[in-house]
Amino acid sequence: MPGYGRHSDDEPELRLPAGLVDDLKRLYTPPGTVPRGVDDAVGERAWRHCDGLRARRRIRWWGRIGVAAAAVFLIFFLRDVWQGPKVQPVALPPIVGLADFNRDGHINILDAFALARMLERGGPVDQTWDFNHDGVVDRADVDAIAMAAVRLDGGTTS
Amino acid sequence: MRRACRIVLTVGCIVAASSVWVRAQHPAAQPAKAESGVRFAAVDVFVDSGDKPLAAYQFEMTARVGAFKIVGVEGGADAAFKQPPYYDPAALSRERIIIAAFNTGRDLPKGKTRVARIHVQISGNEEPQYDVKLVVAASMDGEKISATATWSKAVATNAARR
Repeated sequence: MPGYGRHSDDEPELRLPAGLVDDLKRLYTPPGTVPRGVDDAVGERAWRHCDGLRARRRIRWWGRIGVAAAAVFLIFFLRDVWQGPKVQPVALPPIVGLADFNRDGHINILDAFALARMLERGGPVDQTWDFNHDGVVDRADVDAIAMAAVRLDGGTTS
Repeated sequence: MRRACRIVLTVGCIVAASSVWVRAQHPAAQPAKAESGVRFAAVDVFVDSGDKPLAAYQFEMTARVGAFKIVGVEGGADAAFKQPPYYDPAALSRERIIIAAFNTGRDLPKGKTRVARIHVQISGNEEPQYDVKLVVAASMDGEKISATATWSKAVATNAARR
């Protein structure tokens, strides 16, 4: 059927009553202009809201940076506190005085050897041989001279 | 929830980055990597006193090439020097040691004799070379004698097999 679905305003059965048209126009026409004061107040509140959002975002970033800094500090603090198992250096007794027993100008194993031979022979003991100052001249003095001789911080020379 | 995730992620990244940095600063904190290049070996030190009996010796060993740490010292092969010699305990975990011993007995070795075995921990792939300098050697009367000190790699030991 040609022209099916096409209507014209001239068709009397489709025309709305004039009263209804007026009512609809009144209903959907926007009210008058918004007063300036209200507009400004709404704008100001909107800006304030945006500023608050920005401030909150800034606080959040500073918070993250703070947490990160705290983490780094914690790591370094823990690293300083825990240095792993430490090897305690073994301290030798202080170098005995006048350990150059054989008077050759050097403190070495020959000094300990000479004293050991002297003690084994069982001859008279000189108290000046008490190199470790424990009151007796014995094998401990031999060991003290020998240990002085092998010290890494010196001892091979008097 | 999203905020918490972001914070956790940020902290995690920082912790990971810091731990990488700390490990880079302290290679000792990298057990797996460090362990791979570490091995143990033993070095025998000999003193050759010629035809004179050796009653006392003192030598100093240092590194010429390679990185190593001294981890232990044993006595020698001959009964006269079987006991561990004198050495500074501070030499352990270092690359330098002074070793000495004597024997006042009559049964003393002559010629070339192993006087000490030094256990070392070697780092890296380079084979270490050592300098052994004889400080002094003496015969049974305490007189200095002319002698030489040498070193060689020892055969596998318990420490090396471990």
